[in-house]
Amino acid sequence: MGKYIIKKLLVSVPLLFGITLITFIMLNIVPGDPIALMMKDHFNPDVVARVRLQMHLDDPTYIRFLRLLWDALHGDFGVSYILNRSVTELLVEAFPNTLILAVAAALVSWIIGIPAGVLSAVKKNSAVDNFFMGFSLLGVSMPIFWAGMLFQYVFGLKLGILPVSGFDGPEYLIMPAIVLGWNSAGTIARLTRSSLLEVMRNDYIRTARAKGYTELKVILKHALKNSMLPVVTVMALQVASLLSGAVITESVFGVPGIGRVAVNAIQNRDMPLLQGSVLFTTFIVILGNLAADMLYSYIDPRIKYN
Amino acid sequence: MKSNGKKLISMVVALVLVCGMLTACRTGGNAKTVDSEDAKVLHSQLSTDPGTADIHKMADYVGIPLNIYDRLVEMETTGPGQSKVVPGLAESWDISEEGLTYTFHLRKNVKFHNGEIFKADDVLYTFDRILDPETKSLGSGFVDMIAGAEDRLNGKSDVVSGIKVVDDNTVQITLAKPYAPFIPNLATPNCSIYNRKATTEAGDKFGIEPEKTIGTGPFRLKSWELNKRIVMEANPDYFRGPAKINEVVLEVIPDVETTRMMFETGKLDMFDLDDARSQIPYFKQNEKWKNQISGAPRVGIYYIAINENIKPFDNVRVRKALQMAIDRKSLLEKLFYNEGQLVNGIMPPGLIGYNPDLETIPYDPAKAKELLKEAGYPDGFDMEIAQPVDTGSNLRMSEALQSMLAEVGIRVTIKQLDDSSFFATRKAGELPCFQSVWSADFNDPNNFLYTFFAEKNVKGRSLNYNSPEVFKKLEEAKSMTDPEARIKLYQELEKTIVIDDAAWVPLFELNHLFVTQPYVKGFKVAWNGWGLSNISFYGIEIEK
Amino acid sequence: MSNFKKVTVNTEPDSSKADPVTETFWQEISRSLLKDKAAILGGIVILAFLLMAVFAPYVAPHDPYKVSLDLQFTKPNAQYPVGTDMYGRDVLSRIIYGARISLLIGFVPTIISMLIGIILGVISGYYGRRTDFLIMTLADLVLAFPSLLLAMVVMYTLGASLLNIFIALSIVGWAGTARVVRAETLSLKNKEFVEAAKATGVKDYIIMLRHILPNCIPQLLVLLTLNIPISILSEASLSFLGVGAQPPASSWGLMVSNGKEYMFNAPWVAISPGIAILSVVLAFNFLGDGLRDALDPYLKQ
Repeated sequence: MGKYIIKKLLVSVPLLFGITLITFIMLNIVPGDPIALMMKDHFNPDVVARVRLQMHLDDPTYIRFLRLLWDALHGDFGVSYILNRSVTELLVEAFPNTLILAVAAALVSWIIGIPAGVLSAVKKNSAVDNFFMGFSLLGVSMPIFWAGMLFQYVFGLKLGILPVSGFDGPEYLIMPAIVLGWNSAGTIARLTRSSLLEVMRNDYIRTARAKGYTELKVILKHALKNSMLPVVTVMALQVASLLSGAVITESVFGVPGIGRVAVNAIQNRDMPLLQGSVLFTTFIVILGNLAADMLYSYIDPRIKYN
Repeated sequence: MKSNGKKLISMVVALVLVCGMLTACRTGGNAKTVDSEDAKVLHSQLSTDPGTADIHKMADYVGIPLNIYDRLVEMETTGPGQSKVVPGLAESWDISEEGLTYTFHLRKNVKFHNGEIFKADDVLYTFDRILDPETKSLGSGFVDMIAGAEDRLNGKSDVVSGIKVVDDNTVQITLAKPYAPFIPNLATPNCSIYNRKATTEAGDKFGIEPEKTIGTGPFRLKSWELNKRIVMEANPDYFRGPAKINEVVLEVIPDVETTRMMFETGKLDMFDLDDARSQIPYFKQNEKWKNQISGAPRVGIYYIAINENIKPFDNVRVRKALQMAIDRKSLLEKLFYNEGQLVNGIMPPGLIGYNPDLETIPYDPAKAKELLKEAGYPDGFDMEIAQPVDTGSNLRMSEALQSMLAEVGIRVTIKQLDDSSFFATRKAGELPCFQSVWSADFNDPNNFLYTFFAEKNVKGRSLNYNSPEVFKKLEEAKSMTDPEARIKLYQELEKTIVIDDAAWVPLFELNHLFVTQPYVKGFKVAWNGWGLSNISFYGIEIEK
Repeated sequence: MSNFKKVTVNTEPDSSKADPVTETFWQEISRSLLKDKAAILGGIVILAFLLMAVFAPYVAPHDPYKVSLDLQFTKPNAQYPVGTDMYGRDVLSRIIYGARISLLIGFVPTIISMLIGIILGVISGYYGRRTDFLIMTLADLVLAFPSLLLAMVVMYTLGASLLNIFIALSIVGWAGTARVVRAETLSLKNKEFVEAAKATGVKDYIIMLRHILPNCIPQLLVLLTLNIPISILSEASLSFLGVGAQPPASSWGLMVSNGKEYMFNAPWVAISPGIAILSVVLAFNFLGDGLRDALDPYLKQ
């Protein structure tokens, strides 16, 4: 198992290099001068020119790229142009918030999705099937910021029972987790349903039925556990993708996570911060895939990696 | 098979526990302020995190520096849109006859937040730091008129020759050339005074770590959670007397509608109506809020810049036609609910040098069409209006302009750019006509005319105005020492630039409206109409 | 149980009969679909919106561009069933015309990105080795990069416009399809009928076109119904971030993000386009699920 992990990690190095290169190229093509942006209307041509020179922003492209690589290999991801703080510090500070949000959202999606998937599979093609699938899919069918805003408006403003924005305690987590989690619930529901349907076709299920168990017992005792395998692997991937994608939820609900850091980095052409964010989230996705593989083999010991 | 289920359940339970613990840890570790009965806490907001409180490293978002540091002189808001220079860390000052040497007599026994006493050496240190190439400061434009500044910036010298410490309470600054607005210039937050000892010791953590960020101001930084919340606490030893509130909490909220909901649910104490212009009627009519609206003119001007490098705007007739084709009064009424007044030149009311007798540009589409015909465009022409992508107030203006200009045959395409592209294109001098606003950094005509029409600035502002005579006179006016003659010259230049040369279209000066919670007292709109990210919290009180 | 008989990979050496997608394929699919009420509903909704978009000038009660500032923010009434917006424009008409833009945004980038994905995927799987490595590395790169951020950067580079949205979403979307098609290709390319075709000198691209790709159709159909709503929603997100389609191309996404500001005094401006998005996206999801159920046996090769 260990060898497998190491091999996977090694393979990801060229991937990370590729991402760095692409991000670098893109940010150089995109029009925009971070210094002029920082000064906004207090723009002074002499100052901008001078600061650009001092920050080596006008050096030839390949030199800047090499310098970037060199620093990165030494673990130095530089200092954010706009925020004037070390990129590593910024990411480390922001990450736990996104992690909490992602985990909470994943939980919400499982709570909504799995029962929905089970019920839909059991009553396939009936009104129950449609209702539960519809409910879980509702989350992924709304623009996230629209859903977020509605939640804020109804529960925050009109009913006043939940805080509109911020991140100071569990109650702040409720709305963003629900909005984000509902968004993935559809996928979980689908997967649970189809996986369960497939398992239910198997012979040993027929045997269980023949033994006289009720349908529900058949499902819960025999079918469900075995159908969870694909769902569980998706769960790990899901957390990884939630981590890299909670951008809009974080903006609407004021969660200080890496999604916001990354979006601001793009908007401000903050190269060091953007590089750091992208590398970081990619690495998380890779780890997520790895975790999914390991989870897979943990749950089903028949599957081994070598 | 059974163990699989157990494994699953145990994993899920573990996850839930971890999640709960993490959230608890986060909240436990937060420097959350406790709104006890006695604590007066003001809740305001920022839409982006400024990143640092080191004013030398930024040019916008000066709100925190405004509150945690002081300057040699300060601008006091004496009335709506009115201001005057008052002593700050300098009690008094003398200016030599030729206007080159300023001697500041500093206040005694002013304590920095770390207990150090303020002395002249701190002034020397602060300005030298701005000019030190190592600092890579964005604020050098505010002190580069000091003698020896250029050499310091270019690395040719280790010291700024023009700053001299006479004794602990006297500092003398000599300029390279006379610069009439030097005193008001020193009142900007960019010229805040640092403590040599504290700033040197803090290194690159200055402005980032609250304990290491030291100033003399009415507040000091208490905690900084990036992208979330910045807290300032009152300085009990402030030389003008402690602030009447104990703490200021700045929430970082990127989304405007969320901000508004926070305000309406009582989580924020102030709301800037610039962020929700279309909601002004709602707030004005709402029983709860209609008496909580404060507004004042901002000493600033909304204008439409004309890029003379883009044809046909190199033709003065075309530019004059543009000026006359826009119904400014109607824009003010319909889009801004008449909150403001028309401005005809460059200098708005409230600014030293404002000329109330400057001739008004008429709204005359018929004459505009005639001018276009004379210029060779009887059937009009195509043009672009650029604007930064935003939530809508810019767009409304652009669309209104589009339909007004259509009446004289000018077909407008609206080009939306994101902030970065917008400022980069403007810097390159290639931005098509755009509408923007400029409000005063300090109360002097130079801050308006020079910023836009000086030779070195016309490209970066995408005006590309070209008049060697005006350029020469602007440089002259910058150094003139006779205040009356100087004002007269600026007024002449204003007429030349706007009326004769039609270099831009002046629009109006808008009032800046804010809504505050009923228990907030003492809120005054700053003379330059700056928004919530840039106001002083010193005079505000909370009565609950 | 009767579904099982349709597990089909045609292993006959005769290349001309290698096509598993026969006429009865479509009949079989339709029959399965028609049993799924949700899928039918989805199909009807999509058809309704399509018709609405095509016949917009006849369906819309008012001119969606007409500005009448005195009619600003009228509440929904008989004349303006969904009220008016900040400029006094009829929201219902704007939604009807907006269907054109939003459906275009749904279909065009999806079709383009899937075409790219199909071509690259089949080439990658068929030729293997270096070509495969190159294309798949590129796909991995695109997939690893957070998609919303990637789309943002592309939009910033190109500038915000409808055409550029198509480009951005296509760039972000091709990799998933490519992966799927490549997997199919890999599993098929060593089958006997392909070997036989190669042996008889049939050109590569004909093999790909006539033998391999048709086997991918079930997967592709499902992907299509999944990706169309993703396109529509992505554009809404990009509008929120300020880099979506720009006026006058008023997509529903733009209407929702612009209407945000008026949530408090005129909620219908932001809510109704959101409901339109919701309906269309949900419809595609139902249709897609029904399709997946119907295609189930084909997908389980």
